[in-house]
Amino acid sequence: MNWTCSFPLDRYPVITLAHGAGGKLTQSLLDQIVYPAFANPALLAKGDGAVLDVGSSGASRLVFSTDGFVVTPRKFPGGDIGSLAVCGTCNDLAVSGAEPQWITLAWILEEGLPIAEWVDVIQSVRTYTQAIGVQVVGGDIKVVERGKGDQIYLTSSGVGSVYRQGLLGSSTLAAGDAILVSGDIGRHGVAILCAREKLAVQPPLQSDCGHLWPAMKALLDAGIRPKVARDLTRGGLATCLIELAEGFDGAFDILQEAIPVADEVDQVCELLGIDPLFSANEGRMVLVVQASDQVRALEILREEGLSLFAKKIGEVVAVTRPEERHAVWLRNSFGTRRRIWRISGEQMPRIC
Amino acid sequence: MEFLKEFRNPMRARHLLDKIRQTVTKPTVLMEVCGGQTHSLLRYGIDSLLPPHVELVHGPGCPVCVTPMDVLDQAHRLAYLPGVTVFTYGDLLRVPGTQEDFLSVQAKGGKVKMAVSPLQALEWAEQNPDQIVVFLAVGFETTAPAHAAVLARAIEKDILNFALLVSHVGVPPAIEAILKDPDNRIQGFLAAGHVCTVMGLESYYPLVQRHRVPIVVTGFEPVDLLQGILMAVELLEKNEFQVVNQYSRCVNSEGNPTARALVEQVFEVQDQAWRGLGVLPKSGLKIRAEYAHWDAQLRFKSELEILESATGIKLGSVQKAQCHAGEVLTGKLKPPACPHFGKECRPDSPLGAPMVSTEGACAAYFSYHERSAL
Repeated sequence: MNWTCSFPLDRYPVITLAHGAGGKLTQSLLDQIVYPAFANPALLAKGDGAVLDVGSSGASRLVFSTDGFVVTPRKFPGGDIGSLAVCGTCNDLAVSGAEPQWITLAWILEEGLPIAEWVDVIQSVRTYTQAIGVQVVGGDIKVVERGKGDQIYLTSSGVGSVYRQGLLGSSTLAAGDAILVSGDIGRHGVAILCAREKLAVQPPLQSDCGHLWPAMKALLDAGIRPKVARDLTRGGLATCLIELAEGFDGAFDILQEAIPVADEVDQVCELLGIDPLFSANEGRMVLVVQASDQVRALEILREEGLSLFAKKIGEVVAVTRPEERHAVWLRNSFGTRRRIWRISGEQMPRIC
Repeated sequence: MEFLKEFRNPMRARHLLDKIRQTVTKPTVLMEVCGGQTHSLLRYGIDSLLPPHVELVHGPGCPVCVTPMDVLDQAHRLAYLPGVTVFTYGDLLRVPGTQEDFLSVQAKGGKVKMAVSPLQALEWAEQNPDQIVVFLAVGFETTAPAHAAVLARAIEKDILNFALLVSHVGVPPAIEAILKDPDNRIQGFLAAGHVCTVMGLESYYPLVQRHRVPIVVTGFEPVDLLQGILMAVELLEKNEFQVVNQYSRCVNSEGNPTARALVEQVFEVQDQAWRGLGVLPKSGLKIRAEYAHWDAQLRFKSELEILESATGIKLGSVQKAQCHAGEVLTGKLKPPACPHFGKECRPDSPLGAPMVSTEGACAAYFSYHERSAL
């Protein structure tokens, strides 16, 4: 269904404190922007809470996730704060084995924000929710004084029902399991850094912001139940593997050369002194499957453009010494290996 | 040619390792000067693949690590001044000064911004005429031309709300100081490749003649480092002492005369304090007197003196006595041998710059500890 914004932007071009007061101006934003953009029965019932029919999905378990978004710049090559908010929360549900169904959006808008720019973000949210059929069933709008917010802060919360039987769980991890990654890593962090610092990389580096649900659904539909899966976000692939390994008494053995990194990401990382292993992603997952599933899982991920560059990057291994429990080892073709550790704080571009 | 993949090629690396093993006949101690080289050596585990005869000692080529504490303290304090915004490279944000680091300064209301390029600071100054922008200009010869270019542009365009807080150092005086040390064990050097893109090879010839050591200008990828080590080993085995260029794809013998001319236009050489090495003669840069308006240390001299007497804390006075930066930077102490390594001193609670800088040797050992040949 097409949507056009009927809000009188020429008469009221910017957000004012009155828009957050809950009165007529707030209502005008809802009536002329939010409700038409996300029209669905639960939202349009306009209750204080969205009444959702869980029974129709047939699921007995739900997954619930929330995330806050403060990204600067608000719009970047490959996405904006709206697409991030939708994909971020829906991906958390997807890697938990749940079909994303409902999300809410809590906006904190800064006085003086051009409403047309907020409408652009709403459009982005609409595009990304419609892509996988997730519904926006509630939300909130608050306005802070000029100077007290960075134009838009957005919190999204989402609920989904566990699909088929979901994932097997980390207690099933065993030596020999295959560790897969759904695509090339490190894109989003570097794309944001280039956009924020106005580094004129040509062509501009695109974020990997995107949905993981289609790929996860395809795996579950084919009868492949991953043991664990994680959405790679801040901290990158390396931090995600370290976190996964912390919940397991064995170790992970990863081959450096198997990790897919796009040439342009590698080159920009090299220029800035950033390690792509620790650079953020917003549309990639790592998953562990039993060895017998790895070939079919990769075929499915690569089919139909779901995850063209999906690869096996390593294996789960047993340990012989207690101090090696929870280790993530990075082997390279030089014939050495090193253990990966968390980094403190964010990566900074190198001076020289 | 793809410079990343070709110079990370494992087959080439193994071939060079074999040649090093076949060539070396006696204990050989080499220093790689640049912190970026140190990180690469450890990241790829090259130190664990070299034959036991060959020892690599890590040099002072980490611009953040050698920046004196009082310069950092000055920058921190300037950030609190009304009407002043300090721009710094990201690498300096977490380096502890006497009382705090830039992130704490920012959290407490100081105005700090990160710059990837000094041009960003100058552009921001033009867009924000109500603020005086102070850019913390640190580095070796590699970054001096960029700072000179920004300063020259500020002078040319008469951008008056801009200043540099300069702490610049040069590699050859550091090598000289290391070689003059009576306890010196270093027999040859892998010189910092990117410094030489600016300086060329000229300044190393007197060192080779005076001290009879080979100096190999070396790149940063694993194959570069192994090739540089092989070239140094070959020269030492033949008792030949020369300056040779392994990094010829980036470095030519004349360097970049245009860049050097730009540096000479706005800077002059001075004796310079190095963290951990003391004052080395003619080893640093200062802004020429005729451009004093853009020299933050002169411009804010009285404000800094007032702040010092108000707090009662002398700039740079509270040295972290436990931090052994000097010994680490001159190769006398390998980071894991430091009594504080990994205990009180970790990247999230560093005692000094070498543990927190991306080119610091201590940070390299911490990031890559637990590494081995398979």
